[in-house]
Amino acid sequence: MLRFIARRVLETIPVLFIIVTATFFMIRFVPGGPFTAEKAVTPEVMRNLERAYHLDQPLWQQYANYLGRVIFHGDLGPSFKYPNRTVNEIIADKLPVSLELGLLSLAIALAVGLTLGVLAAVKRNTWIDYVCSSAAMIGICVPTFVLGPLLVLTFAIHFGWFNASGWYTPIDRVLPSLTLGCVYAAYVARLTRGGMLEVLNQDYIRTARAKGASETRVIFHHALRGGLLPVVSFLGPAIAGILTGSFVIETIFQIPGLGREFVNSAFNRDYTLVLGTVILYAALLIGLNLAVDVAQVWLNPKLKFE
Amino acid sequence: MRSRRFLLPFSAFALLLGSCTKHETAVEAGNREQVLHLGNHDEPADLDPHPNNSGTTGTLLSSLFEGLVIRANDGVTILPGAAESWDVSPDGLTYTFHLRADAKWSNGDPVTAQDFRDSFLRVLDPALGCEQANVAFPIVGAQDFAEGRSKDPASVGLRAPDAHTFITILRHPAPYWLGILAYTGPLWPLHRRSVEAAGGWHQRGGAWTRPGQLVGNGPFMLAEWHPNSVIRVVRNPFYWDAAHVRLKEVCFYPLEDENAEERAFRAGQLHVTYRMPQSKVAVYERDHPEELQIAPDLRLSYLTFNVTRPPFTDVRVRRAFSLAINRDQLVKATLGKLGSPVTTLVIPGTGGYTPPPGPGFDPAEARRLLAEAGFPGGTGLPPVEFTLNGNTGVTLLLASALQAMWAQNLGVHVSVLPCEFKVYLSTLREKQFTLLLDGWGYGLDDPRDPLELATSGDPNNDSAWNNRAFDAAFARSDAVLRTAERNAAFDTMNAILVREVPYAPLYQANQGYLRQTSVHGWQSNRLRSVDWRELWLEPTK
Repeated sequence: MLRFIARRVLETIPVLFIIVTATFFMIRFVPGGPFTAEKAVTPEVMRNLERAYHLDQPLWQQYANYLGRVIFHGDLGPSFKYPNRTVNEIIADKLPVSLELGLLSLAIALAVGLTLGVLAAVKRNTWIDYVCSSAAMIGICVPTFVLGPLLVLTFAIHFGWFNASGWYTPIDRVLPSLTLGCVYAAYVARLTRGGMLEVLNQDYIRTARAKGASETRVIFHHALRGGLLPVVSFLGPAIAGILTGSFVIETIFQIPGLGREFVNSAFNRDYTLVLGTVILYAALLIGLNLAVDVAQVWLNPKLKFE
Repeated sequence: MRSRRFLLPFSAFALLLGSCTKHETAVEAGNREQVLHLGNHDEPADLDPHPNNSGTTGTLLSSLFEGLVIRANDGVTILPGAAESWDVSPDGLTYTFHLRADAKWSNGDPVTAQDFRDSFLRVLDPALGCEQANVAFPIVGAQDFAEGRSKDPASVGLRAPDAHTFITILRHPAPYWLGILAYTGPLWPLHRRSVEAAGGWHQRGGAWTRPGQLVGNGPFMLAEWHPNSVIRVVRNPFYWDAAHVRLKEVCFYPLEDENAEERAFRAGQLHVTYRMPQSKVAVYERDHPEELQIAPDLRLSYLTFNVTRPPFTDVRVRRAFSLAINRDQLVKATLGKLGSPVTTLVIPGTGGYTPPPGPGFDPAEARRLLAEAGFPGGTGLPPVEFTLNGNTGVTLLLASALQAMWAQNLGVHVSVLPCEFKVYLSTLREKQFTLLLDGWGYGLDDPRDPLELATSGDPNNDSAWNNRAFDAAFARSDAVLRTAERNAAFDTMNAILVREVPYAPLYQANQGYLRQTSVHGWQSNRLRSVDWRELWLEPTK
């Protein structure tokens, strides 16, 4: 297993290199730059600005400088949009917020999703199944930008229990995590139900029942392990997305997370912030995919580390 | 038994919900403690007022810094700021400011004339690359210094003969000079020592703008700055008029989404919003008219014709496109109360000047002109692409209404091209468009501000149009001091614009926002300026 992991980690290096290079040049070729502002400035001022940020150097030299700084110093550079903050600082400041929101949502998604999914599978074709599956279907269909404001209208404005937006006190975590969690819960429920149904028809489950295992033991010990496989492969990329922040949720609830920075940096042509967030997102995605592969082998005895 | 564990998160959540009761809102607590909660639209790029390029950060910066003069809450009257009085020479060129003996920085240091001179020179220094250095160009030698033709600070008309006397010498009389000095940002003083300690006087993005390090001379000082969350400022005890500042704190919230901002207002988190969704205007008008605020803004929306591209090389086609627009109907159908139709580049009443109105809606004349230009009923007209900034709500509504009016009144089909903001900006800077939905927010309550858009060589002249008589009239308006003579020059410029139509003005934007009734002393004004000393909070019975 260690050899497998080591090989995969080594494979990551060229992948990240290609991603960084492609992003570096792509964002430069997009029209407009970090200093293209609503009010135009004179060419003299623009030249001064570009000189101050070394944008007057040839592109290959900027690329080499950037790579050198990132590789040897771990320095992602200064932000163009927010001149008094570095990209490292912005990520260090915003990532924990997104992580907190992500972990809370993930907890809700797994708790609700797994419960609904298992219930629906075990009580297949009963009213319980219909209720759970419909709830999951609704969860998938209702986008966060509808669910979020609805929750705010009800619990923040009507009942006055929460703030409508912001991330100031622990209670401010409730509505955004619930909104984001519900959507993922719906997917988890659908996948769990599907996975469980497939497993519950297998011979080894019949064997377990024949040997007199209790129904609880059959479901949670024997069936769930196999039934979770599709959920696990979904969770890899989903966790990466959830942890690096959700632009929509962060905008609706005014949360100072990384998701907004990720999207807005592209709009602002904040070259260094775009690259910094892309590197982070790519590394997370690669890391989590590896974790998924390991987990799948662990869950499914038929698979081997090859 | 194991299945019960799944219930744990639910019970925890139920517990949490159970513990929720209707709490005292931020607004209620703020009313009690004189803490004002404001929507600030977006996250400030920095709190250095010199390179600030964003109108939305202006209010926030005006709480931290104070110029020689400030604007009263009506947005028009100029009041003494760091200078308690000033004299103007008879030729209108030399302004001598007498600084307050008791003006202090938020660390207790005295505010001196040298601080102002250093700060003005910092804005002009090419090393800073300040986007708005041009606001100081009326000063003798300022433009040469800013554009690197002179390296000698003494060549710039700024003098500080003693600690409390600061003199600006202008190239030409500029009756709007005090208005510029009260203008957000570039001409406000900085505390040189603290800026230098954090990286250098000419360095952008020094750490001196952080809480605990920012030294200002405004009524408030920076206490907290959590990016994308909140900026909190507290009363500055060293402010010369601190006795009249009744608010204890102000919290600014960067709320980019106007719907989220409106919800926060309704949930009692904000005293004043920055803007509001247009769709909510009617609702507030019906249910809470006392909270709804609509007031004219010095922001203009207009069409820009690229005069170097056919068919708009022909003035008759430009005029036809403008005459075919029914502005009253356009505004009514799209913006409702958030706009008022205008026909001139200068919004009526700007700096006390009202231009004669331009021609309005005349479809018959529009058709005649188009036919005269060789395109009867639109036949043979080269394709016209209408470039837009984004494809959100009002922009698309406006574009489709205009499209329909041109189709109906001229028989012309115009295709719409929405662009992402920076793509839009680079399209217009490189003049890669034919027809553009454009806009301008005045920085100055003076006709000079919008008219400069039509001068040749101005970086914001998007139409690429230029006219010698217009430039001459513009220069004349700068060279004369008497109001009647200036207005005559403005009339001349206005008449040329009406004849040549490089731009087709559409409407003046109105600011629509929400304000709790507990906020007192807040006055809507055209430049959104705030005199912080006037504000206090008290719930109305």
